[in-house]
Amino acid sequence: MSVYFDPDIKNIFAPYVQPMLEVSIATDQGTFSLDLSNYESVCRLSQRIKIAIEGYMPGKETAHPMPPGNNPLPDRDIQKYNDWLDAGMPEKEGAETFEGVIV
Amino acid sequence: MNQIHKWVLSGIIICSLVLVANAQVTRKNIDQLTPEELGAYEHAIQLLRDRSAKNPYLLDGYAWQAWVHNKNRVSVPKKNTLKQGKMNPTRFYEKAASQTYSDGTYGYPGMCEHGKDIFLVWHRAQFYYFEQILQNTDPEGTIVDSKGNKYPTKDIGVPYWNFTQKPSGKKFPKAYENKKSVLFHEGRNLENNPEYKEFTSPELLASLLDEPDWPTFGGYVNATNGGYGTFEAQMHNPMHTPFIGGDMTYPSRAAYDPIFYSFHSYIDYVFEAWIERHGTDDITSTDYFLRAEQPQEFNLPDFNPGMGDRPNMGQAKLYFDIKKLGYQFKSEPDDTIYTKQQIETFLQDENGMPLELAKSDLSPYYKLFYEGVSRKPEATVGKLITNDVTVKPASKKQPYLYTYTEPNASSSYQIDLYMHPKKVKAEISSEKFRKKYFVATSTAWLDPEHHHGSNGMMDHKLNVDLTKVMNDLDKNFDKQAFQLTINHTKL
Repeated sequence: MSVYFDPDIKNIFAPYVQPMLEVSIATDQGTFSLDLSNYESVCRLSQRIKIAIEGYMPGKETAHPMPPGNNPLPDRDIQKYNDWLDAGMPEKEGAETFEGVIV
Repeated sequence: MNQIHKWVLSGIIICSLVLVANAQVTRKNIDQLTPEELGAYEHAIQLLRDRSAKNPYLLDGYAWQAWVHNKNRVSVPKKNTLKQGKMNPTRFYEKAASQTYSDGTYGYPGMCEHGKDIFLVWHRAQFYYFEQILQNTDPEGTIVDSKGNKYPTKDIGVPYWNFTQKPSGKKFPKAYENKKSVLFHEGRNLENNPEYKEFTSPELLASLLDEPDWPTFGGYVNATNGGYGTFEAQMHNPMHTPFIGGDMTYPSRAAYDPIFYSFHSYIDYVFEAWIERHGTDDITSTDYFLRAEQPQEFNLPDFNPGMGDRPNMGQAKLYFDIKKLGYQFKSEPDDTIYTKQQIETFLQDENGMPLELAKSDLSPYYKLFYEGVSRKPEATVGKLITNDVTVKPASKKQPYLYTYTEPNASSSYQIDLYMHPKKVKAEISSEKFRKKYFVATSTAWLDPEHHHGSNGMMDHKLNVDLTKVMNDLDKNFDKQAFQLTINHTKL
């Protein structure tokens, strides 16, 4: 079954949209906002999000795991996110995949 | 070339050198400032406070500059009506930062970088802008501040407080204990533990600076491996809390206290001392962009904001040459960092023999951390953790690292580490035990009110590199069964 940003990934991240908007994400390409409800924003930082949501897994520690509060996403949601990455991050059925820069 | 031409040419060269030198401001030990220099510094700080009293959302005011240290986001009104009046400045700044304006926009003052390899350079960048702002408050000394003073500010360099030396005041530099000065700040631990004076020793500093491995000294990439370098965890953090206290206890309020700036000016002195010894080639994350919203007129000539949509101070690599940043340090004899030879001599017993860990009654590490300072390892038994260890050689390729994980970390804590034969019982309350087997202490500086934008607590890691400790033990106790005992206490 195909996984799309809208509604699959968007729904997983919905509870964390507001707190993450307060943070600036520093990278070696620039400093970015992260709007978890926005397709372009999530795609651009998709690899950093992967590190963050897998941050609670043994051997994959990171300084800022997501979601915060020792409250990791269920494994099935992490798997769904990874499936979405593997599928080329489609926004929705029939839409073109993301062609912007991933930082 | 005749002699007159040579003199003229020499004169031109000398004049040029003087002009170049004058383009640099000098950061001096605060106890060595002339009355005029101290007056100029106080005047500039007062003008920053005066600006914020009328409008706390000005980027070149005291409040915003303090927020750069740790207010991720503030709501900025279209037109400010909030005035400080007779309110305490700190309370006013906190109030201003917590407002929400329906007609406003968001500003992103900053996020201090701690527990990672850009800790030192982020603060250097913060200070670059702060110093530029100070110099431009009243360059020629034509403005009377709210305390009735005026001084030219164009040559200000943020004075440093060498906190490894005996303080000129009770606990802090005299300038910071003068209650009439804008540098005074309520709430510091001035009266608490009056016997606490020097808290960290110049010997410990020299020993840390001797470490050529960048992550070990300066912090780990992307906060991996526990994040903190030795300097941050073993000197910077315990100075914030428990030594200074007050607003300096918390990352999100630290810069409300003006002593923050002289404290960190010395930390920048230490950073420069490390660079002088070891160079910049091994420093990591030099391409990283440093988060903060600063007045753009002070951006460096090579500034490039990158491709993001949030403000920054440019990339870390812009900030390694202090001449390009327009300042230099003037050190006094007491500020000279001890040599390796001096430290080796310091770590000898009364007979001139090197102290040996777990063999001599005094651990060399205990002497390094605690001789001549009021700081001591915690004598009260907190949460104890033990790990069995077989002594064997360690190396940079196969280091011996201990990582402590604090579940649901909410406030600052300290771990003291002891390495002792397994057959010796860990008696933390015994001074004899502590002196003989102490190997390290490490402090996490955390903020119960602030979690970098998150809305909950998370695990926190604190790493301690015990590679040298293991090699010291290996000289006398190869393959023997030892125990690493950790005493964890809340601060």
